Amino acid sequence: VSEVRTIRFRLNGEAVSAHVGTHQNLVEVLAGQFGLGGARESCGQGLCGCCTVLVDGRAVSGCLYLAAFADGAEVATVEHAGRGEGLDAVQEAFIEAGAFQCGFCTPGFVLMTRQLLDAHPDPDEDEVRHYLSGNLCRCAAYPEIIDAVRLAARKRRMQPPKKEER
Amino acid sequence: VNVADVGTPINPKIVTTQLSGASIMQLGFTMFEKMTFDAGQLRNASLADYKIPGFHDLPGEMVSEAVDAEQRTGPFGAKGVGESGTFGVSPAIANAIEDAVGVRLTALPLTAETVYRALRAARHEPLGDD
Repeated sequence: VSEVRTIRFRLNGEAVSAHVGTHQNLVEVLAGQFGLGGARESCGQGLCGCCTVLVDGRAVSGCLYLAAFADGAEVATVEHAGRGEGLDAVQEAFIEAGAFQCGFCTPGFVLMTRQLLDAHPDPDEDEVRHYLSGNLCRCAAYPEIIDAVRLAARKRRMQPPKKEER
Repeated sequence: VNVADVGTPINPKIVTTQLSGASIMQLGFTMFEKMTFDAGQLRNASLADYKIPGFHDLPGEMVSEAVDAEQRTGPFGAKGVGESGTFGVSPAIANAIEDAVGVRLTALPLTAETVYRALRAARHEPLGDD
């Protein structure tokens, strides 16, 4: 029987609390207690990127990140950007470029693309491949994902993203 | 270059995505994906031990196209696309290997080890199983 703790953190901009087992990972808690299905556990080993979540602005593998460590942190999932304001430039670009088939890996790619464009607003193709090489897509929509990232970069240059609320 | 007869593409963008995706998946099966079994137990059932294609496995340039065609028995002249993009990849690479070094490989994946084993066998110096 594992120990249960109460953690408090900010989830997609809102203050929340959760009772979590010390063994539970962040994906389990986000799905099980908050109904958020964007971060999905796939390989469970931090090798595929499907479970990507931002903790204090940094991308982590939600399948390896113990939920208890999120105590006091700012957690953001793919559900954040869309709330109330429609889709952001990255999500629009993925749709327009047709950058998925089944869509299982897409939330991870969207979050990593946002991070990439925050760091490199105009990445070339090699930078895109390198930055996103930790995310796997079994449908192999990789060429379309590269197109989507470059389209998102153009969209962002025309309309810079709003600062995330803290 | 992927070209397929899918009848009349109803959504051309999805058709090219299917063709390129299927061919990249087949590139994985062709070059490195292999399930290994030990007394019926799968030994590499994880993405750590069984690699699938990622961004670094893509060819430098890819073109995917549907030929101009109509399938009269299909809806709106279409037929399925599915994994049509897989068919040509393995034979193309096997042909390239035969052209380059003169050995004909007929089992996947076409790894460096299988090429070397075939070369040794062709010289009548086959390697043992281990």
